[in-house]
Amino acid sequence: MRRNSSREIWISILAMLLIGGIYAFVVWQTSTIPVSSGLFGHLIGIIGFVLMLMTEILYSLRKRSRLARWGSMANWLQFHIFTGLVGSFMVLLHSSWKFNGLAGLISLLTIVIVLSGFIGRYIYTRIPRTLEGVELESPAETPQGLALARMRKMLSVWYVVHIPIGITLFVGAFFHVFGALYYATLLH
Amino acid sequence: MDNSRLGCLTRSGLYISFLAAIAFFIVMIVQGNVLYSPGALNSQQGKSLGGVVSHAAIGGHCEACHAPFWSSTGMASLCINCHTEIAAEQTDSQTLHGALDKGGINGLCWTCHPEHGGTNASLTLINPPNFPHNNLGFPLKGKHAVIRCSACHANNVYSKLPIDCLSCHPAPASHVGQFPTTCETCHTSNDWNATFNHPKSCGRVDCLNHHRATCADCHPSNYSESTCTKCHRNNPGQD
Repeated sequence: MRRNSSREIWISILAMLLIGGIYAFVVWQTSTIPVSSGLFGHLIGIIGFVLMLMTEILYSLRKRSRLARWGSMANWLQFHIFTGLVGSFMVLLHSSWKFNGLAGLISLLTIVIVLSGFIGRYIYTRIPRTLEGVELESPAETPQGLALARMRKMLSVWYVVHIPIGITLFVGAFFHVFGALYYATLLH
Repeated sequence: MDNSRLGCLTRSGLYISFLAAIAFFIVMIVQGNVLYSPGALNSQQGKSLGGVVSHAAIGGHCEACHAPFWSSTGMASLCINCHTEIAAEQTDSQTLHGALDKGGINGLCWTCHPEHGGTNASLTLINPPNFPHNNLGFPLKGKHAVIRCSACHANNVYSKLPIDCLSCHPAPASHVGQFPTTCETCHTSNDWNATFNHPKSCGRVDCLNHHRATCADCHPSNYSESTCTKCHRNNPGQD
């Protein structure tokens, strides 16, 4: 885990540079910012959302399920960070830099959850664990033990912030998709 | 793994999803769906239609333009509820909107008239490749399909432009009184300088090569008329 602790960040930055480059190319070709409802705008929005959703569902499944035991938790966390970053970046490009109503709120929550994710990742990596994500014990009375206990406490507080924001974001996104289908696809 | 912690696929996660959904639903109902608005409505003032002078004046009243989901009414029929002059145009294919409807644009007002683009955004945006020009009495063929819109529609005049060639292409001095105004006999929209294929008028021999005649021998007055009597006693077919 420690050895490759930044690998997923670098891969994410590369992917975002690539996607950003494609976005810039489209802006250059059309001389306009791709609208959310256009082919390109929709495409990055949908792929970005699927990535974000996949992030959560698959990571949670692997974490909770007794049956889905494929892959180590450390790798799944890296995947979670990759899809969370790249998916969020694509969703941000989908916004066409307008932040109105529900869509604006979801964009804001997306930014908040990414920042929160960075904080969580920092706390998480301060706690030694096995590849399976099981936290290693250390003697409670030593200074290291006390620092560790503080980190554990922070992590449980962080869960109470990160998870509800994430869930609210996804529920909001489903409302947003419903709105888009209703008003734009069904033309009501 | 510590399963007492909050997580997405846990009971507490489901509770949060449920609470969030209820919260969004309540806001949706209380605000009359305003949360779905992708942007402000146009505030340009026009003539009063049913007491409304701009779209911005009915901003927040989504139901004015958007039908509830149980209704089979589409957005277009709510547009023409106020824009009755457009409804009247649609029944007459000689008008712009009537011709567009005939071209399959019927009920797709937003193809050319987008909204929610902000208070100053234009309410008429025509995307030339998608615009059914063919249904407006003047199909865009050849060079007409590639020139700028303003080459014909100067000063933003888009309706009732004359469609005869001479309105845009004045006859040169060499043509006045010499050629008929059926330009397409000799010219195409692909190439205005297209070579003229002289008709083999008598039908028996190639007049041009056979006779060694000058233009004026056959066309003494103008090029829309011709005669063979400069050399022959009669025109072909006459006694």
